[in-house]
Amino acid sequence: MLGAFDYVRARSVEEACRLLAERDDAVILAGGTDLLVEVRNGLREPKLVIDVKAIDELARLDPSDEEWMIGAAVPLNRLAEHRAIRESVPALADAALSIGTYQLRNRATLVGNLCNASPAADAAPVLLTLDAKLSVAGPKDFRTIPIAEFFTGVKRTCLTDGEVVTDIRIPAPPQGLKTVFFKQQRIRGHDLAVVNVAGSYDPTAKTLKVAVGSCAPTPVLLEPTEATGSTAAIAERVVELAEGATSPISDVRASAEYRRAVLPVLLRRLVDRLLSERSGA
Amino acid sequence: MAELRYVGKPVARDDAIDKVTGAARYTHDLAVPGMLHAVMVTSPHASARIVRIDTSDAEALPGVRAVLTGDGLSYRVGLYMVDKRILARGVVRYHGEPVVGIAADTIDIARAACRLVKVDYEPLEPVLDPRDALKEESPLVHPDLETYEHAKGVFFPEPKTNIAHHQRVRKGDFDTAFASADVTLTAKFYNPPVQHVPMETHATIVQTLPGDRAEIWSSSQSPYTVRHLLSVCFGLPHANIRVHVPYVGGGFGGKAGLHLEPLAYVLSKASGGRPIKIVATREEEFNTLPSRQGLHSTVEIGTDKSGRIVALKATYVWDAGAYADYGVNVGRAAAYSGGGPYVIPNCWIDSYVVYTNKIFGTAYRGFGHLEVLWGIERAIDMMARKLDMDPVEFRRLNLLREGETTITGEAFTAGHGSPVECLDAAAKAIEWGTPSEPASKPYKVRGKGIAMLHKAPAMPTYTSCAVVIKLDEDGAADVLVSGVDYGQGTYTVLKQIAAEELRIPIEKAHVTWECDTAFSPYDWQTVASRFAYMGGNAIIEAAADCLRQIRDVAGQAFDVPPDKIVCEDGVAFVDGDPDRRIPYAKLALGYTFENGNSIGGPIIGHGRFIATGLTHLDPETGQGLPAQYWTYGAHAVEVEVDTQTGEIEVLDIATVVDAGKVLNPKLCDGQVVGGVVQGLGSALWEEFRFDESGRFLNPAFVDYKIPTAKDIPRNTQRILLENPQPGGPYGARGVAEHPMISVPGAIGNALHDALGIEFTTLPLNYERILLRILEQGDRG
Repeated sequence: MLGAFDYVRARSVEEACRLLAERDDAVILAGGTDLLVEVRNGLREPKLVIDVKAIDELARLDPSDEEWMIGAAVPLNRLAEHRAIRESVPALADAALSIGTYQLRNRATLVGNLCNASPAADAAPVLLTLDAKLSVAGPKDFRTIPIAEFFTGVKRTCLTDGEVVTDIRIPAPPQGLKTVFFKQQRIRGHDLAVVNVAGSYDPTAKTLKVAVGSCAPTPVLLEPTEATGSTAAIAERVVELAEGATSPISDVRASAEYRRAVLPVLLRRLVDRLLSERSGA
Repeated sequence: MAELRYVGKPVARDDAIDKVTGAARYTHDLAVPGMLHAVMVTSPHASARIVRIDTSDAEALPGVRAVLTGDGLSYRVGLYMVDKRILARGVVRYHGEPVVGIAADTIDIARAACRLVKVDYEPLEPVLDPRDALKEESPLVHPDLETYEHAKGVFFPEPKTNIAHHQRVRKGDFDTAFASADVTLTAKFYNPPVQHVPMETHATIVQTLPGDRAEIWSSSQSPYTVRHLLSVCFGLPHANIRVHVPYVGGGFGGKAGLHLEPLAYVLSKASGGRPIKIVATREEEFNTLPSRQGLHSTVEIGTDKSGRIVALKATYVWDAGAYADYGVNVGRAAAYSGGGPYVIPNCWIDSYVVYTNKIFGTAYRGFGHLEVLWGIERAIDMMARKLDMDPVEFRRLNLLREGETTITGEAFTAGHGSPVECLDAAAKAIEWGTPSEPASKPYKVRGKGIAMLHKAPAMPTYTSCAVVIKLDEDGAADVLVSGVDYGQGTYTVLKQIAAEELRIPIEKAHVTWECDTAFSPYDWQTVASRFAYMGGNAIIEAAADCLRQIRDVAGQAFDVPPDKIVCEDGVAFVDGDPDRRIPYAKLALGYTFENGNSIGGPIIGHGRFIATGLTHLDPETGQGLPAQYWTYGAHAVEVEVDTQTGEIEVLDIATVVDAGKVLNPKLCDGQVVGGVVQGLGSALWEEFRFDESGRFLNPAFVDYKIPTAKDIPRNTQRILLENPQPGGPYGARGVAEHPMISVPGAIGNALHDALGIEFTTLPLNYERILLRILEQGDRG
């Protein structure tokens, strides 16, 4: 079924970067749930597959006081079952659990979901609202990429030759941060998003951040909104921002018309959920 | 009748442990020494002329053993219409049609060789809508239709058209009755083509042998039909072909008939008799193997002022796709039941099975009934509203009942069961007439809907089957059949009947889990919800044959007449003198007296069943007796709809079937839940999507959505009535297909109740629902 390729289980980030830089027909394998489908369907024909799951540091899942770190080899189920994440940023757990089936989530990783760079990536909107950054190791040095700059187009990122994402960093969520993720699917069971949205609300700073997926070539972070005034008025501002920032298309999953109809509905529900318990609202 | 020990009891399914432990062997799992793997190159066009095929690079690849194209093959295959080539010849007629077959040492080599094949096509204008295909100026999918062999007197292809079959039903005088009706309705409906999606895709292994023989393993619903059609296609005596059917992972109609076997046969011939294995990929299961046909229907109903139906006309235009396969018979069966289970004094039905350049249609659970009843049961609801009548009252007034006749002139008797009781039970199950509880959110609404269903087995008038029972040394019974249990549970039911009838403990009754035409007696096919009915009757006869032999030998042993021998619990004893007893174990191979003299011999019973009293339908009027029995039922649902996203949730669904007799309540429950979920797929999500050139857009589960465990309704009620069927085993009727048939109709009706919108096109996906809500809002 699959073409022949060499398989290497990298022992260090350095080794993975070196192999990736040496060969232009090499790919990184984390969960493999997107890669193997593409290889089977003949969309990619790698000659070298570099498995990063055995690199210890990439398996770290470490929410500390200042910054949370999610390693590139952490599978979605492990992330979603992590108590601190469920409690502090439930939207991230919800988004992770909306990807694929339980069995797939035992393999699929958060970083892989981002690197696949689908416009519908379910993890992307939440991470956009959380100001996440990607740590990237390259053949020469390390760099950090804010997630808002990571996606450059459909299935395209700003990674260059030999670069490997090693983890995601999220600033420790401020006290009382509320997060919500909503996804419109075609069925209740596992499905790709027709539209997905995420939002975070910081009650201290009174700022609201909202991101939208599946409605543009990349997931889109809307301009942050000040959460003052009535919830309904704030929701309309967010809807207006989203309409300006997105360009839904028709495909086999849904028509542009349907996406345009559902997006404001999800956004209004999102804002309502985020702000409903706001003091002084 | 004495109290039943096993029949009607919730006996656990026979195959459960083999399946959950992985011990069950499917064709997918099998390998035969020397076996090659074959792969197909398929057409990327819906309609095209094949200009040139260059296979030279593929043939040169090391490990490739045979490469075939349609030009080398003169055979035609077909079930009712012999209209299909094993590999496309001259033209391709659908996207996905096999064009080249390659056998190689490994599947990877075969795939690599496929990529080396160069085919030049000249694309032709495809025929994509069957309504356009009926127009005079339409291109012809089969310009030589009149030269094709077909089942004459049953199917009526129309030369120089795209019509593979036209079935008529004429009763009374529709035109006059409709013209004088007090209230009339005309409505149009559509069902898209859908796939069966069995867990196990089609798989086969074929080895040709010296002396024009062939041995076949196949994931088939029909071992004897595979044998017969191969015999006809290749001109071989039946005895030269041996078909094995091991465990089969689901069929739903898609594995009836002949599929990958002929290609594997010719590749085996071409590679010097090597066994050839072909396993369909999931994409090929969607794209190359047949589907359920699409349907465009137009329904016209006229009633008098009181709401009594005086006239009904239905025009069914089936999207058969490129080949007729079972499609012509679907068009036939759905016509003779195409008015729904109602009294229709003046009826006119035209059912056209029309060739197009799409994936071809075949049998699919429900055999056309889900499709026609989507239109009929929606139209009945619309008509009730026009009359300002409650839809349940309108149905009750018009349902078939004793003393009435069906649209083909069959007298309706008490033995048919009770459609009215089905309706009432369905209405009660969802508290029809009581408004729904308020919805869970302000932007959600709820509604209730009901739809009737009916279906009879669609089968030849001479359909038959046989059963052999062999007694073992320990007095156990081995039942040999060649109907296939591909998941529906029939073998468990047959085991219950065998134990009941042979008077043995159920642990001692066994149905052999591999069909083999060399040993298993004849069965037509495992389709049409008729295996438990026909096989059950044959087992009753075979068991009686065994008991006659047991009584005969035991009578001689005790020197009493055979009718003085009583059989109970695996023991034969003298009536009134139970101490004079012999266990079956001492009779199974023959009885031996104390002095060593022996009598009898191995006990083998045989039973059979043939459909009785069926007639061909009159070609002009459709009048006749097509049905061995009818099974009636109803669905009732309550739904909740999110009016802002179109998302629909089925809160409650009740399925009522007049089963005659429930042979195994546990398995019946499983049939009903499975049918409901499959029906939900047809109702809400499933459809083949094509682009404007006829290319298939969603040949995988990513974008062909079927229900998952999370999509099962919150509550599924199973209500099985037991108005006995004369001639059925213990009074049973078939129930296998029925639980999915009117799920779409009931949901469509509930959506009207919830939203006030008439939906006429399936599937009722969230997008379709929301866009209609918005459209209605725009209209104000």
